[in-house]
Formats: sequence, structure tokens, C-alpha cells
Amino acid sequence: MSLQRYFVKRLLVMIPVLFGVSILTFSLTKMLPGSPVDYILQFQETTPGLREQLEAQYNLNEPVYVQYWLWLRDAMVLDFGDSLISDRSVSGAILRRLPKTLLLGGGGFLIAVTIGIPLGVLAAVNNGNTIDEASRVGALLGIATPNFWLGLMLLLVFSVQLGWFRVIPPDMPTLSLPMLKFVILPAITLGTASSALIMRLTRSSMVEELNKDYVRTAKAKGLSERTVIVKHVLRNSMVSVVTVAAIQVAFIVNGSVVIEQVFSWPGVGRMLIQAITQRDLPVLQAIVLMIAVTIVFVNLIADLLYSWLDPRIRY
Amino acid sequence: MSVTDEPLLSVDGLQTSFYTEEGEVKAVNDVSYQIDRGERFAVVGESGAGKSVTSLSLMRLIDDPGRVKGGDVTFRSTSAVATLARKFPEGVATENSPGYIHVTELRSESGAVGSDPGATVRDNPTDVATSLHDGSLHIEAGHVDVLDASEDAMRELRGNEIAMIFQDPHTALNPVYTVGEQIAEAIRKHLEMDDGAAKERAIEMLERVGIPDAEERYSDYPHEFSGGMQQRAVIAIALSCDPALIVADEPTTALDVTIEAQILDLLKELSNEEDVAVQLITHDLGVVAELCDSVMVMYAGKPVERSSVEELYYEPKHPYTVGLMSSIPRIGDDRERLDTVPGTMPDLVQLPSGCSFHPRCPYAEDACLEHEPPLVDVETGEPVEDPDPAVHSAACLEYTGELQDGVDFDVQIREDAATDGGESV
Repeated sequence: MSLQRYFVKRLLVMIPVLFGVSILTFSLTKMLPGSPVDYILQFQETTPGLREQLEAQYNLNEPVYVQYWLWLRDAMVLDFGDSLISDRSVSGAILRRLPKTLLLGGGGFLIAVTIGIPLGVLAAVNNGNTIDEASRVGALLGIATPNFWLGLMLLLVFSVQLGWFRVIPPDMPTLSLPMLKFVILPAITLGTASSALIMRLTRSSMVEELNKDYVRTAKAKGLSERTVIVKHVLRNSMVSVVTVAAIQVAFIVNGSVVIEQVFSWPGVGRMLIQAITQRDLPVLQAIVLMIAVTIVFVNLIADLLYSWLDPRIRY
Repeated sequence: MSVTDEPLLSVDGLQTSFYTEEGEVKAVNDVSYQIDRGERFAVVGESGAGKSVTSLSLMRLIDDPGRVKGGDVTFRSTSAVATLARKFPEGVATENSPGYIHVTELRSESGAVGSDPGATVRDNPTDVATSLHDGSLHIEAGHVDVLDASEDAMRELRGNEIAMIFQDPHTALNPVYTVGEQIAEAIRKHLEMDDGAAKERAIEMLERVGIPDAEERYSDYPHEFSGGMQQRAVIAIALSCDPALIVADEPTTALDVTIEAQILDLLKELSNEEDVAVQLITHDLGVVAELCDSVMVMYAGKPVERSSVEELYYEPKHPYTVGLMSSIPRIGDDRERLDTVPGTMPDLVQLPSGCSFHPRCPYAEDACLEHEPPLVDVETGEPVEDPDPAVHSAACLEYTGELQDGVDFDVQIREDAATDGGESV
């Protein structure tokens, strides 16, 4: 099967998956205790007429499947209605904050990969000696440190004590220099645990690959150590690393919700926490759906990546 | 002795050990042999006899915790000497500085150059390197001390002058690159060709080893090849840079018998036509008879018998060789069970005293527990210093006259199958 046909096939498989994701998102948010109307009315006693009027406005008097259908119909064109709290368009609010979250998540992922993979290779090549042992200890620390604590410590040391970074983010466009500088600490906080995991996995899968016969064939051809490792071994090791890196994206999305709180980051994560406490259902549904769809797509990319890395997977 | 009479490869007193927690595993313990240009030489023995370690040692591909402890490996290929002298002038040996590249005869357009060609190269390394490059200077004779060569120099030799074929073609090819790329890669590196030319040559190589539709097959992945075709592809890699020596480590063990026959035919044909020497490692004496000119039988890291293939089959001298021979199944033989060599290979950390083979030898006497037999000429009983393949030698006290009862076996030769071996009685 060619890569193109595989791609089309995987895209088609996504349709039922996304459908399932939307049902889950909708029903989970529906299951939250308390009606949104209570929150809008701030638990005040009102006339029954106002309550019914509000329920009708948000289609809450319809059967659940009708509510789902109406929601899905609008969601397909990215219309999630208005926020119950601010009365502003949910899509608009998310889109305004999304670039900041993408910057944070992208930075965290970049750190996870660019630190995790090279260190993993280094540890594998030095299998059993001091460098390997040091990386093992480092990875253990990285995995064991809670990210919010790490974030606070980084803030304390680098922002408060040393004054290298601002404590709260500047009010600037996402791709401005002060913003890019500020994102360093939260991105490190977010990426540390993932980079430790990716490093360990790269190491173990590389150690396994290094013992395979094709490595000896490559050496017997007279290729340099570097070519053997980078061209032959690394590509084979990456197959399992890509899978785990895709899972790490989910962890990074989760983590960013916490990290945005710690660093007062004006992103979607903080919006999500607000929406939960205020029972702002349209916002909540939109963000949860967005996260779910992102993860589905990241997995698609991972699948495509490793079918590109290893041609045997296309079958 | 003229240049071309000298063997292509001389291995002298090679010792390779693995340093494990249990102690030093003497995987190869004082092995000497030589291979002539175009010769097909077999190294035979059970698993653990040290056959593969011997060949990996001469490729310098022994990984930790293994180490080549001693010995000399001399590789006399003028093209190898020329390539290395061109790229690593600092490695050329002269009177004043030891080096691993020995240039013994240089020729310019007008004739031989200098009394000490090594010094000529040494004095103006860049000039000589350039002259070698543009062809105005040729190396007529010389050799490389493989065990002393730098790692960079080794990479020039591997795949280019000494190539390898491995046991299991299924795992020997990288699954994520096309077969063609894996051949072209070596060509680009050693023959300094660009992508297009390397691809063309790789396709030629695939054709050469008998892969149909080579041009289309070039972009196939290894898993799209059958086992036999994979091994052909591995042979194509080995052959791609015109090596002087191919080390084939059990090239047919992982293949079924029909494919085995095809691969052996291919190796035979290639070594005849390309004049490439083959060092074949195998446990299968049938394969040896099929392919090789001379043979060395190894046991517990040491050579126990060395001779031409014919002599080994008609007159095996070492009890171990005889044991191996009688364990070959034969057509028309109605025995219920095949003979085997009883017991297993000894622990290489603590070898038995005296002759390593004595615990398994049906003819062992007290003397065998005490004296380690040297490799001696079976006719004269004199120790063989020079591993001349013309001399049939064996390491058994029988031939030094120290055995009282002697070894006692018949060799039955049947007219219809001359390659059938001896049977111990």
C-alpha cells in the first residue's frame, strides 16, 4: 500500500472516531451536576417564567438527543454559541487565547523532544557507563518532580531571585520577543517530565536496535559510527518513540492547564478552569471537544509518521 | 617470492578474548591461516568454536567486552594499500616511523621509484597522494597491518576491500531502507560516486546476483524480498565495491536447501569470475565440499586440522574432523541414528588440560590430558610454523608419536559420491 492510500484510509477511519468523541464530550459535560441556568441566575429565587425562558433560549427543554444534534450541527461550523457568563462568542474567545496556548504547548513539546531524543541516544551509545547512569538519575528526577512545584521553583529562582524573567507574562502579541522569552520557563516546566520519558524510551529502544544484525552489516560496509547510529539505528528506534511522543502531547495538554495557572498564562487552559467553576457549558464543551480532536489528530500524525519511518507498518 | 605469489591474507597467531564476569573467554586462541587471491577457504567447526569471532576480528568488528589480544593480520591488496596511502599518508611505515601501511614497491610512468618507497611517500605525502590520485604513480606491492590500522583506515577497508555476508539475511538488512539504498550507500561511500551513478551500479549489482527486474526491485524494501533474494541482496552489497576478500559467515544456514544450492552456486560463480577470495565460515562440511579449495577445522578457539578440501575428505586426520564427517547424513544410508560427536564444546574460560578435545575423544589416552598437541605436519610430525595450506596438518598427539594405541578409523570412499566423508569405526 502506498503512503497516499494509507493516508486516505486513516482519514476515513477518523470520521467515526470524531463522531464518538463528540458524543462523549457532549454527554460528559451534560452529566455535570447542577443546571447552567442556576449559575446564570446565581442561585437566586426568580419567577418560574424567567427560568423557563432561559431554558428555552439554551435549548435545555428539548430532549437530550435533540440538544446534541443542535449542538453538533453548530459545532461542525465551529459555532459553539455564546458564553453563558459573558454573552460573547465562545469561538471568538477561544481563538483569541489559542495562539498563547499553542506557543506554550509547542514550546513544551519541543523541549521534550529536543532534549529527550538526543540525550536518549547519548545514553544508549554509552550504555552502562557513567553518562548512562547520570541520565538514568536525571530522568527519574524529571519524571518524579510535580510540574506545578517545578514551575514555582523556577519562578522563585529565575524570576524572583535572579530577575532574568518576568513573573507574569507581558501583555504582548504571541510572537513578540518578550513573549518568546517569557515562555521559556513554563515550556521547560511543561516539557521536563515528557522529555525524561522520551529519553528513557529512546535509550531502551536504541539499545535494543544496536544489537541487531543490520547494525553489523552497516558497520561491515565501512560506514562511520555516526552514520550507523543516526541513519540506521535512530530511524528504527524512532518507531516506538513516536507513539509515546504522541501520548505525551495529551500529557502536555493536561499539564498546560495547570501550568497556565502557575504562570498566569492567558491561554485556553485558564479559560477551561474558569468555565468549569462557572458551569459555562458552551465554553466547556468547546474546549473539551477541541482537546479531544487535537489528540485524535496527533495520533493520526503519529500513525502516518511511523508508517513513513517503517514501511512494514503500511500493511 | 613474487608479489602475486604471496597470500592475499595472512592471519598469524590471532588471539581474541572476551572479558566477562566469569573470566577471560578465549574465543580465538592462536589461530593462523592464509588465503590466496581468488581462493575459497573454509573455517569449519561447531557453534562456539570461534569461527565467527575469527572473521569479526579480522574485520575489527569485535564489540565490548571483547578484544583482539594478539597476532597479526596482513592484507596484501595493492588497491587497499593505494587507497590507504592516498587517504592516510601519516599511516605509511618508514624506517623512522612505524605505520600500518607498508609500501614495498612503487612505480611511476618511467619505472620503479626509490629504494625505500615508504620513505618516498613519507617525505612528500601530499605529492605522492596526489600522484596516486591522478594515476601517475602506482603501488606495485605492499600490505596493510589490519590489527594496527586506525579506525578511519578500517572503515576504508570494510565493505571496500574486505566485505562480509551474514548468516541471517532476514535480519542483516535494515527493514526501513530500500534494498537499493542499502547497496548504493556502500557504493557512494567507497567508490565516491554521485547518487545517480551509485544507483545505476547498485542496479547492476542486483542483476549480477540474479535478481529479476532489478530496476524495479531497487526500490523494494527487504520485507518484500524472499529469504533467498535477501541473501542475494546482501551478496550484492558485499560485491558492490569490488572487494578482494569476502567473508561469508554461514551464508546459507538460514536458508532452505534449494536456495542454499543456488546461493552456493552464485558464490562460486562470483568468486571465479570476479577473482575474489572467499573465507567461508560454516558448520556444514557439505557446503565446504561444494565450494571450497582448502579448509581449517576449529575446535575451542584453536585450529585442529588444516588441509586442502580433497585431503580432508579422503584422509581426515583429527578425531574431531572424523566425528564431524560421520555426522553428515548420507543418501542410501539406512542407519536409524546419525553418529554424533558426544558431549559439547568445553567452557572456554576453563579449557580442559592438555588437548581441549580429549573429554570427547574416543581415542583419548593419559598423554592427551597432559600435553597440548601443537599443529603438526601429519607426514613428518614436525610443527608447522608457516600456515602453508599445501601442508596437511593436524593437532593430535597421534602425529607427534605420543599416543600408544593411536587413533583408529577407516575412511570409506564410495565411487558415486566422492564428497562423502569418512566414518569412524
